[in-house]
Amino acid sequence: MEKAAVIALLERYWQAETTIAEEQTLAAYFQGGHVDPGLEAYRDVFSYFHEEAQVSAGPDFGNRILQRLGLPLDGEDAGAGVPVHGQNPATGPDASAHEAPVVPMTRQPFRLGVMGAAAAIVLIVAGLFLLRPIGQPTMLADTRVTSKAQDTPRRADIADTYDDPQQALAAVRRALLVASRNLNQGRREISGTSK
Amino acid sequence: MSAETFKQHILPLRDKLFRFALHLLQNVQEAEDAVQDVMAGIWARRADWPQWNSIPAYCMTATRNNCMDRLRRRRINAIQVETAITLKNPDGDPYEQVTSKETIARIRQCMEALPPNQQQVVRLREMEGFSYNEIAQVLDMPLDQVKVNLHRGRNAIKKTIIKQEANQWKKLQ
Repeated sequence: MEKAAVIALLERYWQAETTIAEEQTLAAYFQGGHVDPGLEAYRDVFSYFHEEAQVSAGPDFGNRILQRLGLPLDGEDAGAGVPVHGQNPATGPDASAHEAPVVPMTRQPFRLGVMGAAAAIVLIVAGLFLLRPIGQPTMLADTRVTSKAQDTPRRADIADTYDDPQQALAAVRRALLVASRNLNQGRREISGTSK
Repeated sequence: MSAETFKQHILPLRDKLFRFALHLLQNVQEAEDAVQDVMAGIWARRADWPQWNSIPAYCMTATRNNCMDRLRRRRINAIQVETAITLKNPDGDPYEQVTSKETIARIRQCMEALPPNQQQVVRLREMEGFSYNEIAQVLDMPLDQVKVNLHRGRNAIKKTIIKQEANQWKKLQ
């Protein structure tokens, strides 16, 4: 359509002198792909009217009307517009048309499983130190347990296992190092799955 | 026979009636209720259908009257309803899309700021494609007043567009 013809039609449009057919011609021109750059500003007017005209009550509205009137329902409700509120069966009749973006949920159970495994590793390691059978030396405990402690297991469990505080500190450090390594291993597994 | 006529000629008007009811009531549920009431009333009067000049105009008039009754009952306290508008402008670049959305928002504001008669005339003409005579019948308004209201409404929108265009140029400079 020639630019001059569109301008002339637009002028009559603003004066409310156009017919419905002429207005449809204008709307088709502005909704088409080749709008003259000088007339680009008016495209939004027709876009607005077009989009507003797509608003509908939703796809099942016609059947609800028929149901209320006791008439046989249509197999396929022809409501073709943009529902103002959700008649999507998945969202229910009161859901908003502005839906939140859908976040994939498939990875979450897997991530929870890995986290659970990591937590289990930490618990097992902690259990080796804290919940071992009374009287048995720890995996990392030095064999240089006092003879008094060997004679009386319960007391040995409670009493100091090292005569030298430096040795005791070294043993604690080693134990914490092992726990830390296991914890880091679990964290690495988790971060690997989330990439 | 009546049921088929209803399905073919009246039921397809439901979205037009709904949009107009929504515009007046600003409430989705109430707009649906209004349209259902109107449809029930029209079905009850099916013996009169042959006497009606324009079924769309009659249905729209009934919808408007129903909405006015509802507004009177609740003493008009309109609630803003956001209707999703997604621009279909595949050729536009991101800047154009943003400015286009701004312009559309301005047009909507402009529409909402129009006097009620102008709003209704513009909506019935631009969105529902009603003739001047049908609009006059629906709004119970003289024909020349329909044209005057349409002219004023369209020109208010035109001014909005020109102003928006000028603002965008200022931003670019």
